[in-house]
Amino acid sequence: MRMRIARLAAAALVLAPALFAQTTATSESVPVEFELGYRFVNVSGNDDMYRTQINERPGVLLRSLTWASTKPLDGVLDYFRIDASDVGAGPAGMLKLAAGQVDRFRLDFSWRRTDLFSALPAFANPLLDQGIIPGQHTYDRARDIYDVTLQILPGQTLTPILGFTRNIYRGPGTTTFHVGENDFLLNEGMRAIDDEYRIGLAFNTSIVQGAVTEGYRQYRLRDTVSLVPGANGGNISFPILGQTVTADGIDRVTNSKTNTPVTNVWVNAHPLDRLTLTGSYIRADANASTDSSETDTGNFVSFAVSRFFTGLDDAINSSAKVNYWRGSARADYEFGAGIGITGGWTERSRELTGSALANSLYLDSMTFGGIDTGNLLQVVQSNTSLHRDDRTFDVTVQDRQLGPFAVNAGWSQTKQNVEFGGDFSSLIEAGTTPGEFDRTVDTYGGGFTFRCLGLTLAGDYRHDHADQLIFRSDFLNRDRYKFRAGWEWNETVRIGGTYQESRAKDDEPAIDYRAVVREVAGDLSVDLFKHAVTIHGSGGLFSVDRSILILQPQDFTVVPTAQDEVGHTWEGGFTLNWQNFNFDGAYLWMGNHGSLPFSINRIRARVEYFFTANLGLEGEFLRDKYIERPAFDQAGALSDFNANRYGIFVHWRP
Amino acid sequence: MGVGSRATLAAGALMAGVAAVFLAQTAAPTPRHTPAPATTPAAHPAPGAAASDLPKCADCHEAQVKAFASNPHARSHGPTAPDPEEACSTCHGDGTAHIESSGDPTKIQTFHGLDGAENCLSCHSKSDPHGSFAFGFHANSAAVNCLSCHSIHATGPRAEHLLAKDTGPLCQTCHTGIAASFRNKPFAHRLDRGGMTCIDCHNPHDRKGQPVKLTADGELACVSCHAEKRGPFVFDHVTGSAGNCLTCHQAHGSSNPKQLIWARVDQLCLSCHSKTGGPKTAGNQPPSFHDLTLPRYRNCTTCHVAIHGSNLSEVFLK
Repeated sequence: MRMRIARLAAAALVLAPALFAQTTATSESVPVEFELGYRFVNVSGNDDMYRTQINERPGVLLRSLTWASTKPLDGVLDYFRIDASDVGAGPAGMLKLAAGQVDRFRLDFSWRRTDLFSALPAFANPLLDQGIIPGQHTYDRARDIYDVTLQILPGQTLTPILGFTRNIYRGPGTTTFHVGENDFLLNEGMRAIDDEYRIGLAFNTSIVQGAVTEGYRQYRLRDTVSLVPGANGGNISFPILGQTVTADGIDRVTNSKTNTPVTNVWVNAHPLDRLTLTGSYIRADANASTDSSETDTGNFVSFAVSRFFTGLDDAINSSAKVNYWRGSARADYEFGAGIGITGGWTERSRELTGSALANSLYLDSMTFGGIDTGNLLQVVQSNTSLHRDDRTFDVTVQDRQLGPFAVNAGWSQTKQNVEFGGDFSSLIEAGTTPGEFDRTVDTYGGGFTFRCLGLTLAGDYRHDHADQLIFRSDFLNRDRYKFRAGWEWNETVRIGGTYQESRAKDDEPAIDYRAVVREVAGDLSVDLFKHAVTIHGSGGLFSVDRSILILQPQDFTVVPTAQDEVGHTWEGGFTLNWQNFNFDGAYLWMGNHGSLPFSINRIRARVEYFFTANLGLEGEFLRDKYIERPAFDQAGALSDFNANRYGIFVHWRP
Repeated sequence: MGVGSRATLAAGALMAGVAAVFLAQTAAPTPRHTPAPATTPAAHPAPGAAASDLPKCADCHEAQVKAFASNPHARSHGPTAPDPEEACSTCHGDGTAHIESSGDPTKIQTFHGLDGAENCLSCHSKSDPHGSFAFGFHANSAAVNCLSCHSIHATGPRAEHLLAKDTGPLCQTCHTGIAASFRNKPFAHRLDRGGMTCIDCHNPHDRKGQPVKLTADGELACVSCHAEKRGPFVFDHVTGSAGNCLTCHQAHGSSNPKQLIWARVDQLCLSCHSKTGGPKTAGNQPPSFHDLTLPRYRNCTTCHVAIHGSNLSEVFLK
């Protein structure tokens, strides 16, 4: 309810001055256009899956707003502009403001809100087919991002810049926690705020341009979890070592903060008429600290300490520090019209050191043999270190004015070095596997474009070769192709097609990784009667064939695992703009017959009629029908939904 | 001396060099770019005719001239009273012959195709660490150039950067399949009205080899919104070590929940966390009690909830 009121207030806030402006003497210099109305939503089937995928909610909706000056406003502002869209019922809305006086200042403000919902019936819930309630990992959160930037003396030789960005992510959810050899469903509330303050100076002369910016980022997180009422039995109902593992209570509070000063410098110089030199340097040193306290009560088992116990008091203090820098230098040289060469060097380095101290007090513990050992304190100190360097050299030559052709060819080489140290047990085997990896990737490629008599052709090919793997799913060889052909006739007919393919493999018999992704798409658009009628259609086929050998943990057998996607998408629709009447409608159909088979049918329709030159009424109908075919342990029909949305809007235009 | 120190010195030397050039040029500025691409820069009255006798641009092109007052290009010609005549000739050159010939379109500089777009570069010479109008993905060519996406006079009321259309439909003109994946596939970033646009993650003027826009910190644009995934974490996972977000996720529309590249979570995790022999790789083998024949072990994130990195558990349990 609070969110709804906030959204309505935001909509009113945006709209009120717009309406006011429309009724005042400034209306000619600040015309406003907006679409405001109400959206109704009717969902049958799985509302959670609908919200996860689409999440359009019922309510008042400011579908769009543009409020822009057409001439200077009496010496106060030379220009002024507000744009907003989908403010209100959500799930994604934004508002932007740009205002300023030429040569004096420019102010940019933006706000974006995204409602994020996730409650997938099967995902992260493998117990679904055993009757467990769907969607153990869920969230219903919102993200608000505010950004304001003030440029003083924009475009001048020196331009001071001040900026601030706030990113707030908050809301409830559910998660799970593995403790005492059982998994328990928890309620979770989180609030994360990421603030960034910036001060900078841009410089712009005929020879040198660039900017120096110093920023400071502050990140704060508070996360609380507690056992969901009624979830005392956890996901495992069978006894472990003869004991049924249950929880009477689980409560954890985690506070985390990170401070990061950031320096960003870039310069761009033209020491010679045809030569451009560019350099940049970024440094960001992050210091993070986290405190967590947890209290669990119940009947638990721990194989780690070989005990039964009735409670756990856990306190963890951790800190992580990252020193990161990225530097680059580049030279662009143009030999003549359109013929040029560019070469550059980029290097980045990330050095992490982390430590965590965990004090775990196992209450009323008892050995598996039945000996009462009372409270047992376990103190664990973990230390981690990670150093990653990436260094890239690249060079590209091009001729972009070769008659109707443009051609380019290039090479790049990236050397990657990663060194893990300490307790990275998920990534390296301590004591048995050295934690250092080196990989060099060479990329060769070229491309062309062509345009003549309305015909456009484009092609691009890249071959990547690596000498080593770091992850098993890395490639040793990869080929990427892209082609596009299009033809336009007299701004009336437009037809095009694209094909792209990526083939990656590692040529290692013991891993046998292979991934082939293909996509072909075509589209046709016909404009009739001077754009009064437009008919459009498109279609596409896509496929994914990905496989790799894995070692099954339970029996140590090596088996192949594979994922397939074989799908198609089709769209067709038309628009009609006739006098005061506008119609835009489309039908979309998609099917996937791969590892996770499903089909989707979508309808998009919007009709609009202007009663006067300024005032119109809009109606909107949207339908999305999702049908998931049962496959392995997916939820099948439980995931299906059919969602209809109806909107009615007033459209005011200047 | 470490690699980082050497690079810092190199960067410092570069900065110092550029600063020296900067100082030298500030002392004696020499304009490089002439902001008048047209062949004849000034509008002079025809012989025998007073300037006031000639029609003005607005007499025939009333709508364009009126609309131009709110055009960003108009702002560079004075804070309060942009002169439409001067503004026109800046790009279109001397219009006298055009006027005297009753509007013969061949007698004035117009902007079509590559030649027209090259005129834009007379002023717009952008080149920075990430983007370049001359060497970027969409560097001017006959097939793709400034005028393929930007329309100086015919922009929509909501268009930014003088784009001919809204960002999504504009990019879709060529990138058909990618645009369709956002519209059709079930799991995707919301890429329409109030949501994201293509340019939140991509800079259309970026250089080749840098398809995803970087933040001011030199990170992938993903963390601009997903700030809580940035870390640093005591126990880093893929993003902080040798991979990035795209190691596990598809940024565009996906058939798989969470936009993962595999439909099943255990397949994704075991593609790295398996020791089947071969070369040394990062990623440990799960212990044997992870019995994949039991459903509860097929979705690893049921227990390993903090999979993007953790400060509390080295195996990401919290």
